[in-house]
Order: sequence, then C-alpha cells, then structure tokens
Amino acid sequence: MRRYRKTAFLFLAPFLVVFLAFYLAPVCYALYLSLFVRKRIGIGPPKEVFGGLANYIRAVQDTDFLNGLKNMFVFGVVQVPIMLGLAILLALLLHQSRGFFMKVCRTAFFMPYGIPTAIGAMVWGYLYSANLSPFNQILRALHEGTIDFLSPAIVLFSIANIVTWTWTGYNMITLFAALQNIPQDLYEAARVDGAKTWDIVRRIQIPLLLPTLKILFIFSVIGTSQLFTEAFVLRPLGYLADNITPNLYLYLTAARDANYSYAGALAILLALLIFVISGPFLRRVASR
Amino acid sequence: MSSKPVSVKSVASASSGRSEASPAVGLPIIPGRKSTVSSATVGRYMVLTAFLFYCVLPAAWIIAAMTKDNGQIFTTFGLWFSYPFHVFENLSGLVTYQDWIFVRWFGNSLIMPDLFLSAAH
Repeated sequence: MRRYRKTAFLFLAPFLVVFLAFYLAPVCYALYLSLFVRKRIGIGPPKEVFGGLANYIRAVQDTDFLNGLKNMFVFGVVQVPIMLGLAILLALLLHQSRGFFMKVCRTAFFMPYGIPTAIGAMVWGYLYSANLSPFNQILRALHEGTIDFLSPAIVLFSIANIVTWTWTGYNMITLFAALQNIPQDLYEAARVDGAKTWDIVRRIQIPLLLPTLKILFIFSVIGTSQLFTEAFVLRPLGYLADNITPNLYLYLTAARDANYSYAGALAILLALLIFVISGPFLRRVASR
Repeated sequence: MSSKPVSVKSVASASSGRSEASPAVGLPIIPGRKSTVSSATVGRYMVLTAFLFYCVLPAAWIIAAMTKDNGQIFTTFGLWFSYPFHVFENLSGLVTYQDWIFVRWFGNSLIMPDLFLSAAH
C-alpha cells in the first residue's frame, strides 16, 4: 500500500502542479491582498498597510455590493427555473420526435452553446439596441411604441434572456442524453399497466432525470454567481449599473479603481457564499 | 395532453370494425406502429418550432445584416435581406481590414490546436 502511494502521487503530479500554481496560489494571493488597506500616513502618497478584516467589514456594509448580490439572487430565482423548466420540456418533446426534424432541432438548440459568450452577447446587444432592434422595428410597424431593452429596469431580464438562449440547449442535450439511458423495459411495463403519456413523464422520466437535473441546477447556480461577460459586453451600449452583477462590481473595483485589496475581499466573500449555498447540496447529490 | 387520435385513417379503421386498438401514446414511438396526428403532436411541433426560431434568431439577423451597408442596417427590416446586396464588399472589407488581420487571426486559431496536438504526440 505504502509503495503504491508514491506512484499515485507521481501520476497526480501533473495535475497537482498546475492546480497549485494556477488555482490555489492565486486564491491565496487574493486572500493575502484582501488583508491590506490603503492609508495615507502623514504627507505623501497613500500606502498599503495591514488592515486585518477591515476590507471584509467594509464589504458587508457596502450597499452597492449588497445590491449586486440581490440582483444575483433575483436572477437565480427567476432565470434558473425558467431555463431548466424549458430544458426539461424540450428534452421530453424531442425524445418523442424522430427523423430529420428532430435532428435539425437537436443541432439548432445546441448551437447557441457553441457560440462564444462574448459574441452571443454582442449580437443580442445589436438586437437590443434602440436603433437596430428588429423587435422595436416590428413594434413601430404596429404603432405600439418601443422598448428600451437596455434601460435599468429591464436590462437584468435582457441579460437573463441571453443566458437562457446560450444555456437552455446545453441543459436540454444533457437531459436528452439522460432520457436515452432509461431502459425500454420501463416504458413497456408502464404501457402494459395502462400508463398514459403524462403518467410516464411524471412517474418514470422525471424521477429518473432527477440526478442529472440536480447537477445541472448546481452548475446553473454557480454560473449565476459568475455572471460577468454578458453584462460587460452590454455595458458600453447603454446605461448598466456597476453593480448589476457582483462579479462586474469586483472587476471594476480591481481594474478601474485599482483597489486590488478590496476586490480581493469581495472575491473571497463571493466564493465563500457560493460554497455555503452549493456545498451542502452537492454533498447530498453525491451521497445518493 | 390529449391522447385522442384524430387522424382520418384511425377513425376509418375503427368504423370498419377492424379490431385495432387505438395507438397508445406512450414513449417512445414503437417502430412499425402507424403514427397518427394527434393534437399533442401538433402542440409538440409548435413548441419545438418556436424554440427553433428563438435559437436561430441572432444568427438570422447576422446573415441578413451581411447583405447590408451601414445605411441599410438602420433603415431596413433587420430580419430580412435588403436590395442592393452588399455581401461581397462586406466580405472583402472583412478580410482586407487592417492588412488582412482577420485572416491572421483565423490562421492563429488554426495553428493553436495544431501546436497542442503535435506537442501531445
């Protein structure tokens, strides 16, 4: 046993080295940075001095950051169920379909996932922009007035639409694959027992999709917490608040305000929050 | 969802007295069984088609925009082509932009996986 342990570490080494260098080390560096505050001592430029948990105390009182977190929660509560619900519905419907139409749908639904996030967001930006939007062109033709998709009240939903467009197909394909792993015997037995379509969906397909669905749910929650690209790409097109998502807020804190220690503290807090939310859930899924 | 078959064929066979059980609308469709167009099927196609349009919408806008110049993109309907076409000047503008930099980028993308693959062998 002992002898093999060395070999095991040898095989793990390539992964561990990269993991330590590019994953754990930056996290530790962010943690280290987050303990400093910028202070002006006497005359002269401000200096970075050790501040203990000062940045963390500032973060939990920072209404901009807290509102960003609120946006994130609203987004998660509204967008994730819509996206996963759509994905289930489409997977079930596609599973009933055969032939050319099914193949076209399968490809087309998955296509948005293959488009880089930044490019997808840019194209949607065109579709949202006041002068170009074909939606507004249609509304104008119907004399219904126009919608500013980038206005502060709506932009979070506009971003949610981009995310839904990108990820529904990915979730759908995963569920579709899980559906094809359900043994035929179950369907036959159910049909012999006189089960209707809805019975089969409710008592066979949904329960057997549940493990896959739980994983997709966790991925979606984590994805929601990391929301950045769509907001960042749409930013120059309209008025987007700095704190529309927590990630954008901490990026601007670091890149625009050059306040790396505060951004580090925000990043650590955000990571802890996601860990607290998804950790217990992940453990429950894994134990099944 | 309704499971009543509404096709003429199945109604006819039922009235002609042939003892054919109405097709169970189970999952998946058993090969060889005659398919009937039920309202559930129509609904299924409608939902799938609607989502199909949603997925290709941005791509459709891009393809339509490819045929337009800067003025047309504002004045014509976004989801349809407009005349006169500007496809060729747009494409040649793209590849010759900043001394063919787009071709350079494209080449870089082709080279990158190649490098990784040759390193792996």
